[in-house]
Amino acid sequence: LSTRVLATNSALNASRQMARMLDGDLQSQLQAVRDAGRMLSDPGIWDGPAALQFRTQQWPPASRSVDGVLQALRTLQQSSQKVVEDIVRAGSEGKLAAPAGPGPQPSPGSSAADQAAVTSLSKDAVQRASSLYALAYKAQNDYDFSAIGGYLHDMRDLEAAKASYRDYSSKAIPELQHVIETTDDPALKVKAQNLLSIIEAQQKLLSSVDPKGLMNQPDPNVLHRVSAQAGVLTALGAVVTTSITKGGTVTAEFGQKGGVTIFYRGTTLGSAMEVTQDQALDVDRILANQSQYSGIAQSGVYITSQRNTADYYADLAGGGGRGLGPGVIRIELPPDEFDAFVARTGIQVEAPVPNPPVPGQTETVIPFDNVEEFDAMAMYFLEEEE
Amino acid sequence: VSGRSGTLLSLPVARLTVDTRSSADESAGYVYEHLRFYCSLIETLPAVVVTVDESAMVTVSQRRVYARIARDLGRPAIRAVVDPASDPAGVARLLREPGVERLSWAEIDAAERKERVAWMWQVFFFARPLTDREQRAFRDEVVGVFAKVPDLFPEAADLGAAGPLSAGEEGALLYFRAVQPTGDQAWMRDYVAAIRRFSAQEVRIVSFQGRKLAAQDA
Repeated sequence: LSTRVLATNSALNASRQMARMLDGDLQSQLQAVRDAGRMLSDPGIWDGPAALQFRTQQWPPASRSVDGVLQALRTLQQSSQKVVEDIVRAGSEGKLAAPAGPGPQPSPGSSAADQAAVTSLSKDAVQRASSLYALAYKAQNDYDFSAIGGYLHDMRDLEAAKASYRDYSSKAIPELQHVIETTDDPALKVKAQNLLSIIEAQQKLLSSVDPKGLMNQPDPNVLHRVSAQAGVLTALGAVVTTSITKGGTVTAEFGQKGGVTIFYRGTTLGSAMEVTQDQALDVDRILANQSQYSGIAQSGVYITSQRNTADYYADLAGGGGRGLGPGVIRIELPPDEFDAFVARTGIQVEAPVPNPPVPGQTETVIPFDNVEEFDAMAMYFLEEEE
Repeated sequence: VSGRSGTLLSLPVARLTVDTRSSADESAGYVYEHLRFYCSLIETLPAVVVTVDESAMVTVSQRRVYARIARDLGRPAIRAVVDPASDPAGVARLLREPGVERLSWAEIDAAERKERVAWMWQVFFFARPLTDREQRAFRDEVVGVFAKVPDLFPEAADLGAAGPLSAGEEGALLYFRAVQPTGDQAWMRDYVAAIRRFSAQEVRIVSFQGRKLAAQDA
């Protein structure tokens, strides 16, 4: 049997490219094809001889093929992450040079096993996050991101990364708090608030990574959770970068009330009543509504962390007293579970609304396929009208 | 308030008790008089949320502003969502009273969802009366958006064009009725953009449909 181990940079690049593609558009596009096929198979939406032929002859085998490909992609996605990990692990044992970065150097006290474990868990996702932070850094010269960049570029030595980050945050947090309290510039205030949120989130993530625990815990779920945390960095990075590059117009971070993540959905009171009663989003209604209009950019359930944005859409939905008038659903989520859900599904959290009717609106779209899982962790409440 | 919602009723407005100690509905989001005027044009007011106790006392716990408007406008009845935290025996007693009717949300919903377009009132209060030129600009830039509706929704052509522009408050209030897509966000985005543009470039719009325009800004 061959025991040859070879991990070249080309292999690493190819494996990462595959992982990125599988993480990204490929699956969501296929899911969109499946959603569209299902919609077109509904005689309430499309009917007639051609529709009949489509839903009885063309779509059923195509649907099975799409489902099969999706399943294959999911399997491949799981193994591709393992491929990246294996290659990076091989690289960390001397066959590949570690990527250059301004970050901390490995401390003499940390073991090679610790370094390999931490490196292999999340390096790919962390490197993706680092490019977002690099953008943030370019746009926001007032603050020194080198410590974050270093941490993200090279976290082979966790203890050194933690020390570096503690040092950075001890300087940056008071500075940002001072800016928030004293500035008259609302845009700068938003930027500072966003950065502060990110730093606090980073601190929480860093403190939750325990290399010893990881080394002693071969349970793949633990590895998955840490990988998910790295994915969250990507999502958070996107929020910050968007906020900064768009001139600080993204005003809301995730509302944190008593340890829960808060979102809102603007709808009618009748729909809100139904959702709060069932403790489940009304997918059928949303799907039917979206199928009636061509202007929907992406099918799914639209939620937002901005209360005023939810109010805006509630007023539209409940205008003229329709649907019993406007209604806003408050959605409470356990932060850790939601973060892992986002990382696992690749859902973009609080992206700017395209061509927003009101500047600064943000939205998060939960694809219909993920609603059941979302429902399982969400609590829905009827929000007081403002 | 539990936040969970339940039974839907039509209730005599006279049966409602509004807890005036709470200011939860004293919102900065609307101008009361403007919202009341808008509601005066609407056939069915938005619903209130009520809690019913063991003696069948009905207290408005959410959306109090619509209870207040219903009284001010002399409306005989209003729709009410009964909070599930209510006393079941009290709700049962209430349902036996004359003028109290259980409604079906499913039926209301199904009927409304059949309509992709519907006649809806558009109410604008301005910071000052509009001149003739500004009224013409408003007609072209804001009311004109409705001219595109039949292109997008052929059934709108059968319902008719936008109604005449009416004025009040010595010209600081303009309102009209038009056939509007009921859930088309893309069309609505264009409409809101036109409203905001007019407010920024011509005369400031204080409220649209009773809601402060500024309150809709993120």
